[in-house]
Amino acid sequence: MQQGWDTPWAGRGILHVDMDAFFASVEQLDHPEWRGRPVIVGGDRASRGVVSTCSYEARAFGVRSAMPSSQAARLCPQAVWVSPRFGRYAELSGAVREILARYTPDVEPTSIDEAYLDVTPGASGPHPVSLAEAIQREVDELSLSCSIGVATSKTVAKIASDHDKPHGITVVEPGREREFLAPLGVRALPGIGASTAARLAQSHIRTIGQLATLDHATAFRLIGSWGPDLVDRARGIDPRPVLVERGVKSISHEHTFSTDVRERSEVEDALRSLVARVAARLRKKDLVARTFTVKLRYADFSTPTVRRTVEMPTDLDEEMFPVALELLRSAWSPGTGLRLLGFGASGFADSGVQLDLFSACGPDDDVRSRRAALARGVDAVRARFGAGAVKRGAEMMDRREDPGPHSE
Amino acid sequence: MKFTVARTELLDALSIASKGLSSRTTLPILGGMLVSAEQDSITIQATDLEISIRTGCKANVESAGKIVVPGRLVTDIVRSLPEAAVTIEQQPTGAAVTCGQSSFVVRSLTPDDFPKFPDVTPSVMVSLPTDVFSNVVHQVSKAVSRDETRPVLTGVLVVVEQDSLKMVATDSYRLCVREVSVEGSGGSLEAVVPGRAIEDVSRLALSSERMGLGVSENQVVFTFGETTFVSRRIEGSFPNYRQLLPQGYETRVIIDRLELIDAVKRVSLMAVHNSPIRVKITPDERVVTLTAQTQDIGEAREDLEADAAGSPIEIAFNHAYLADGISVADSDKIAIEVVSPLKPGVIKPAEGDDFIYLLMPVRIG
Repeated sequence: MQQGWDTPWAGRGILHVDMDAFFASVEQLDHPEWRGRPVIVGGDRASRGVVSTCSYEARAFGVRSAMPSSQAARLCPQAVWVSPRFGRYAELSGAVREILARYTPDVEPTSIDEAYLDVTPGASGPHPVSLAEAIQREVDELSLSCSIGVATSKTVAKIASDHDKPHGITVVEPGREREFLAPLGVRALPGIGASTAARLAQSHIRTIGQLATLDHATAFRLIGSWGPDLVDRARGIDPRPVLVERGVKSISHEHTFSTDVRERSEVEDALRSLVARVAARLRKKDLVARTFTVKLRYADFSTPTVRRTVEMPTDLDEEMFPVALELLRSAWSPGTGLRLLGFGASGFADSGVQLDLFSACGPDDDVRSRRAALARGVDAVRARFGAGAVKRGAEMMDRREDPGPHSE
Repeated sequence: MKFTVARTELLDALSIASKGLSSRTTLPILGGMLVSAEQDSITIQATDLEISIRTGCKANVESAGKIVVPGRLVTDIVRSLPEAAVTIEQQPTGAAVTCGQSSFVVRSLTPDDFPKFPDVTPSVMVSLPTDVFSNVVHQVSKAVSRDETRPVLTGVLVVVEQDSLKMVATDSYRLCVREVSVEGSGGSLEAVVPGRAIEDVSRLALSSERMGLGVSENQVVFTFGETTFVSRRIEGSFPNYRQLLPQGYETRVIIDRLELIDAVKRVSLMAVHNSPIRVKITPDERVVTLTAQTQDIGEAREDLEADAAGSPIEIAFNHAYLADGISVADSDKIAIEVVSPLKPGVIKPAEGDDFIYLLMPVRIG
């Protein structure tokens, strides 16, 4: 796939920069005596910890991320074993982001060690491959290592960055996406997990190339509402933009129902879950919002939105949900078929909360502060153990697939 | 029924009574005023069932009687008339209002349907100087809550004790206490009066030098001039505000009130959508810095010279609440006392404790 980069780049240019064994590399950077040795960053071997990251030296022994620590210890007893130091990793992650920001303002960090960059050259901009090489050199100077995928979309760039690890640059030239993806196993496609892969295997679909031959209706039947999107991505089609979070104006989530729904309880449950997602993202970004919007799409594809602005900005589910519910009830009556429901927050205020005199004995006695503390605690648990780790009672009934986030 | 009265006197009485008109259209009779004429005077009543107002004036009564007229309409008619004698007469088709060459006939309603004026027999009645009462209401009423979910906070706590009048109001974000000395009140009482009613009284009563205030089990009654103003009392106990008042402070600043209010108003221009104003007190440099910023709009900053003592501190307040407190603290120099960025700040006169405006800060994320 590696091609000379003297041919001009047609269309979008997306880089996916993925740090190689990031946590372990930081440990080897800070402890030069560990370089060249297997290093495992993770939880306690004696208890039920898991491997967070391991150096490539440790991977040679079969150690992998997310493996139980006890198993890793058996595979590689001589490894240097350290507990994670997230503060230090965040610091170096920031240093890497500074490098990326020098090349383009359009950087979308997706985790502490990964980011997408939009480096679409246009008529005369620098070639994306030259930028990838320059970025990799600068990261090398931090004594860290990254792999970069260069492609025309996020999906392909992400798969490409994983193609030649560590310290690789994989270029998928415009027009060659299908050719690059076709031989890969379906699991390589972001979003396909073990269960989806198993379902596809029953229909004898094992490679991305096979998945790309499905029509949308079949994909929908096999995988559900997300199927058509996956098939598009298998064909190298992924129009998602690089989302730059700087100056976000609104945060919203929407959910497309697989069949039109009419039941009040089902719609309100969906709304509750959308509100929870929006609230969590507001908290993550330290934003509070005053304007809330509910978006509906009826069976005839008419798509009205209703919105309301409240006096006190908030980032709490409990305060947003009643507003959302009121908006929903003003625009929709049970019995009318609904294809899509969305909830958005905008009108961000300086993150400030008016305190209340009668709960001022200590800010922690305040109902609102307690709710805020609870919300942040739940966010932290979910960040660590996954979105499903903690649920509200009302969400227990709720088994929906993850709707994608939207920011504008 | 027929009477004649000077236009100004009639208009004054109608204007007072119109504060009692209901805006609800479901009970048309509550949009009416009951006008009764007997001997040498007329009385006018209006009620929205929360408050009831009875007022009146001298009149040349030709024949006694009662009639209910549409309140706002008749008030507007009388306001538009030239300064002359106005005659109101009951006719088969309604009430005729004539003045000079102008005449109106308005449809009237049956007096029998009009609610009976509440029969209030106050256990105590005190007498207060009206201007003092009105000033105190003006100072505390900004802090009255508009949130009907906590009814007791939509009222003003009024306490008369021997020679002092005290009012307290809070919307749970700020709390305002004002105490003044009054002479010859003639008794003691305590009641929570609906904010709207007490504000109306404070404006309507100003033409009389003194006013009476009495309470019964369920009602509060105000009397001034020819007027009796009855409001329901708000049930429930008013929060114990004394325990909210901080016992001391970490930082105290004495500052010129008018300079501060002007600065707060300027900086507030950049505190849009409820963004707070940050108040930074640096005692060593004798400076108070106000800043405000709103995402996508801009920012403002102003330094003020001030006498400050204690630790440097930065605390953020809702700009409107801050401006309210400073604008009603009527002394040339005011003190601002703060304990911590999460504890209530106090605005009071540089000297004395007879005015306290307690304001909860905004916690900045």
